[in-house]
Amino acid sequence: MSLFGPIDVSGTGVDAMQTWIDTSAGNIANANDAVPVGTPAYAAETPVFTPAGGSVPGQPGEGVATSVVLGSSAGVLAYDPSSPLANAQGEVVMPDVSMSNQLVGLIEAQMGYQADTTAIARAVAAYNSGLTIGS
Amino acid sequence: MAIAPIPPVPPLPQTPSPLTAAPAAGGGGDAFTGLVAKAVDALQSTQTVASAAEARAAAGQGNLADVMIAATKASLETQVTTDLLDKALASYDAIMNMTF
Repeated sequence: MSLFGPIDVSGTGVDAMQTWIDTSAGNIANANDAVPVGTPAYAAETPVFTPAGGSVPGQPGEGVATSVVLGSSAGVLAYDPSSPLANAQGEVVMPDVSMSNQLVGLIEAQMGYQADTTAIARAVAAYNSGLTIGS
Repeated sequence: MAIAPIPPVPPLPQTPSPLTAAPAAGGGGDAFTGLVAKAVDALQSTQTVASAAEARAAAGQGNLADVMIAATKASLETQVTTDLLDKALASYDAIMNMTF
């Protein structure tokens, strides 16, 4: 680990939370993308977090690695006869995005972001007090 | 009877000759200046990373957190380097000001 390792580790956490906010924003923005029945709907994006560099016992970690997985594009059937995309039964396919789950995820991501930036601020404060050793 | 000639005195093995001692002293000086140069080089590379991140952010790309982290690390490393150099130079000054 480098001299400022904790800052880099918290930085991966900030990046992970940023990805979570980005995917939630994309899912919410596309929540109303209706498509005709039989075509693939918008697939919700979900961030997946794993320990970066694996978990090595007895050593501090290297932070978190983030990847984005796509959900099902099957969508859910919705009755909307006014839509120009509706079929003879008045049905369209809407993305399988739960707005409440997305909003709760946004709050979690925001709190995680704040926690990571707080960890960085504490590390900087600790380094600054380390610089006053002997003076 | 004939007196044997006095054998030449062998040089003491432990005594360093002035010719070999001089480069050693120069090497010590090089070590200190090398240390200073290395510290300033490392500082420079961190500053370059921070500047590149800031330029990307100013161009509307990149990521805010990465910029702030790079800037924080550059600032911290500047403080660490200058503090360590100050301490090293203070010890030099203390030796220079020794009175006998």
